[in-house]
Amino acid sequence: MTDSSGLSRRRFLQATGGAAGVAALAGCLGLGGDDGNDGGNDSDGNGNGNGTGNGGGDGNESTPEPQSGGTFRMINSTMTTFDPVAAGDEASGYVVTQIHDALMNYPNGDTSVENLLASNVERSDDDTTYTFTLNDATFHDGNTVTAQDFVYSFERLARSPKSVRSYFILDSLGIAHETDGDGNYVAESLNVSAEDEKTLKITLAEPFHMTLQMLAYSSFAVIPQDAIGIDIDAERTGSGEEAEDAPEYTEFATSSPIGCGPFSFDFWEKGTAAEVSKYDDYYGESAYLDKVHWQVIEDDNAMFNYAMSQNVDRFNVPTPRYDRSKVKNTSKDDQGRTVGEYGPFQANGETVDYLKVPEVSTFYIAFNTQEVPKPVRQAFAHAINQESLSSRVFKDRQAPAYHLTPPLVFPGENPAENYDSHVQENYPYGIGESQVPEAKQVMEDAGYSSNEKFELTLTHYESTTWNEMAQIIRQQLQSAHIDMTIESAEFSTLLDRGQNGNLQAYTLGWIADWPAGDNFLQLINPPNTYTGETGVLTYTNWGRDEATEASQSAAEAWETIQANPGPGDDAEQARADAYLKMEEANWEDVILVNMFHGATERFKYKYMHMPAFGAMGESRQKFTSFWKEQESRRTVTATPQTPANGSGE
Amino acid sequence: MSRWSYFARRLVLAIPVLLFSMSLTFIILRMGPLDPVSAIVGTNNDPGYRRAVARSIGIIDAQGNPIPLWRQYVAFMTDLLTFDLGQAWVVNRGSDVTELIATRAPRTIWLGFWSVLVALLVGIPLGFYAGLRPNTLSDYSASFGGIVWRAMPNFWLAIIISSFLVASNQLTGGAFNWSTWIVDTKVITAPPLEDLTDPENLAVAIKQILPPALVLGSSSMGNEMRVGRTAVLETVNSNYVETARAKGVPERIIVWKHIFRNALIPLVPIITAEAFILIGGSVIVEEIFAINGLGKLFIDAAFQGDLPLAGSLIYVFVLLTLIINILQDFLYTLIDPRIGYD
Repeated sequence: MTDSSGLSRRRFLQATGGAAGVAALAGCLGLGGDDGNDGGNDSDGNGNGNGTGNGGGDGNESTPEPQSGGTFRMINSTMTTFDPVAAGDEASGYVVTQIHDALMNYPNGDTSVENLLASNVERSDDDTTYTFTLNDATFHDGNTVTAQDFVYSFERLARSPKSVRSYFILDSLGIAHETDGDGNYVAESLNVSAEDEKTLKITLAEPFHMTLQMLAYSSFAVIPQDAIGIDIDAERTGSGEEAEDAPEYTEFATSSPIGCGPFSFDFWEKGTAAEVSKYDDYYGESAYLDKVHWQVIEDDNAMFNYAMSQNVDRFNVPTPRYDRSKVKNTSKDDQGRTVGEYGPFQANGETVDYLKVPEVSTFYIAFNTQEVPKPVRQAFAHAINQESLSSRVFKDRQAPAYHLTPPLVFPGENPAENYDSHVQENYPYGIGESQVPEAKQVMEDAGYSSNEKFELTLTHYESTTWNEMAQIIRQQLQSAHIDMTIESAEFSTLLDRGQNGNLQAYTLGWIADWPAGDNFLQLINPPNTYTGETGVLTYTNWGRDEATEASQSAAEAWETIQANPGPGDDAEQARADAYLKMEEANWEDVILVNMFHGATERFKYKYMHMPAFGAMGESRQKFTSFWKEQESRRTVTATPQTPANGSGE
Repeated sequence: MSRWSYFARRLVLAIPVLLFSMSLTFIILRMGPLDPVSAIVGTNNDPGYRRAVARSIGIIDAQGNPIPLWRQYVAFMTDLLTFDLGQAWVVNRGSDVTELIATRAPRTIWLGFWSVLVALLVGIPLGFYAGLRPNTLSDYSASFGGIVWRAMPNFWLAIIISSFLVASNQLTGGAFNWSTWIVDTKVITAPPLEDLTDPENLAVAIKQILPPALVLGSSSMGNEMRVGRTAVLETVNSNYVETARAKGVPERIIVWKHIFRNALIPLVPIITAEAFILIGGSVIVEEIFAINGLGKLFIDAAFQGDLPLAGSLIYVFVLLTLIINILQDFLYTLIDPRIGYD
């Protein structure tokens, strides 16, 4: 029952219709032949010679020539593993992206994909079979990357007991395979074959237009077939307290991961730091940097202070230390990214480069409709002023949200404009204002008064910003006859309680798995909101006891989305209409109050040169084009403090 | 009862305490609302991902059936008692718990050692100094200082000190830069602890641990100062000191042999109790100075329902607590022979 109860690709992926995705796919196939093949050897020329002794380059401000050498240092949170199929978190993702290469890539974390290990892609006429020709790449241990290695790596992704993304390959991408009576994957039945050493063929169960996007995920990266040296099933054995990873597996995943990416693994001291160094025989443009160092720091204050002593080149500024008046000389590029400067910092007098990239993500307050009646939910929506909250609490670092679908993937030609105009015309609960009188009216119409208040608990995940917002909302709701208690919980508690239907109102967010509207709107497809079911995504039980007009409308719209999966204009229009219908249904019944869309900011010292990353996130950016001015900083040569540089291998 | 049978009895009595606290740990972590799978999954609560994670940490079997709690409990207890600490579920998923503890313990111990030392070396002499000169200006300033140190909360002091040291160059207009003073060190993160026989490494390790150690030891320092002062005052006015003085015993001997030794008695439980506070208090200091030691490891594990890791750490902490407690009672009998064994 494992597979049937989860979200199958039918339910949450196939209909993916983001214009970005489709365009990217087309571009990618078009470029296939002439894109990836080169790149191999011509970058070595300006490579190793420069070193740290490079004294030239004085004064020339305009377009400085990249310099080789140095260590790029950044802060990371706790990493867990460098096995591509076991890494599900962003912190590990940073490192995995540098060590491992997949067939395809999101260049600089943009939403489009391009060839990486694949030099050529061919798609069969029935759109189910893809044939990849591989680049002449070698693994960090010197062996050649072959199609057989891919067969093994994909089998691991599907079958390894350590794999946390088997549904990517079995359900989402849907490579043809066999299942046993319980719906479990049958070993070695994946329809992936090595035609010859450099030709890989995969066959899908049915056509899927996001295939190449999926293959760009680091879970699909290749590792040598002898990297672990034991049977895939033996990587972890036993269950419960007895379960143990095999030592061979642990060795691979934590102390000697081998990939074919631009950097090879040096060392990882758990909870302290990890380091990778440039792989000289990389098949593409090899990196300018000698090393990349991640220091593990999780406390905001510690991060900031560490960065202020210039122990890292790229960092974040925690909101309490953030001063919006210090952002200056900003300009916006065509992807909505803000580029500018920030500073000077009080602690060290430096002015640094500033970048803000809107993320494909939405954060919201959700209500369990079985516990919280509609007037109360509407009163919430009236009282909440997304704009003043994002300004007061986030100091304008995050954008206010009205739709569940973020502006970047909103349907239409001009997504961001469509987003705004749809809000302007239709949002029923006040834009940029807190409609407390209306909230009070709704509640009084429903029979509540100052003697008979509605009591509820809002549970937010551990976060000072959510706490601040909740305090403000509570005050506003008091005059609307709602008595709100605020409670905070760790994710480990919050999600568990949600699954069991023990939350009245709670906060959570969704960060895009793939850049498309239905990846978000699946959250409010009524059957996905039933607590206690395996496929539950929001704990709201929308229309479960009794279907409402809006919940029916949302369910129908979701069916329309599923019925129109194709890339054609008609299908796209049908999906776009359905997206809006779902958003409006949510506005009517207030299942989720959308609060803000996330953005990632990057602060870096001026001697560090790194291209802006895209909306798929910084952790998907390969650091090959990063470089560091060599003579400008004593810190360039200072080796990050770690236990013995020699300890890594 | 002899000293040794007393000692043996204390050891035997410690066993039920140990079993009880381990069971409590299991109940809180596994039967409460903490779900390690949710902790790993975070915001994007995708069912497929959840199932795969649950299977990978082994709380459901390959067929998707949950492992019964009683079996998890039996396995948990037997593994701990046989010192088979297993592999972590959430924090550095899949790493050996012994390895995690081994890499992090030295930092916490180094931090704890210096914070106790700072407190001892500053607090006790100051307390005795003030106690021997009651109601003078130096007594008042020492006592007042003790109260101030005692009152400053760790989380606040840590932020102030770390921020000040980081910005020391900027704040003093270039006159003083903590990072480059004597030896080059960082303010944040754990000091490098390898090869401490090399004087330079040792200097770096000590210099870098001093600010967090001072913060961690600050309240103990104030405490020891206050208690030391009172204890000295009490003994100074006691009959035996007066007698000794009447007999013409030299002042130096009175102070060191009669006052100092007797004044130490109330300080023993204070100092040993500090060892426990250091385990708990180090969480905040480790967090703010990014030392990533045992304290932080424990908090992460406990909040995220990481049973093998949190369980093992509690096991180690309980063992330590029991040992220190027994040791403390033992020390009493050495310092003060009047204390009996019954």
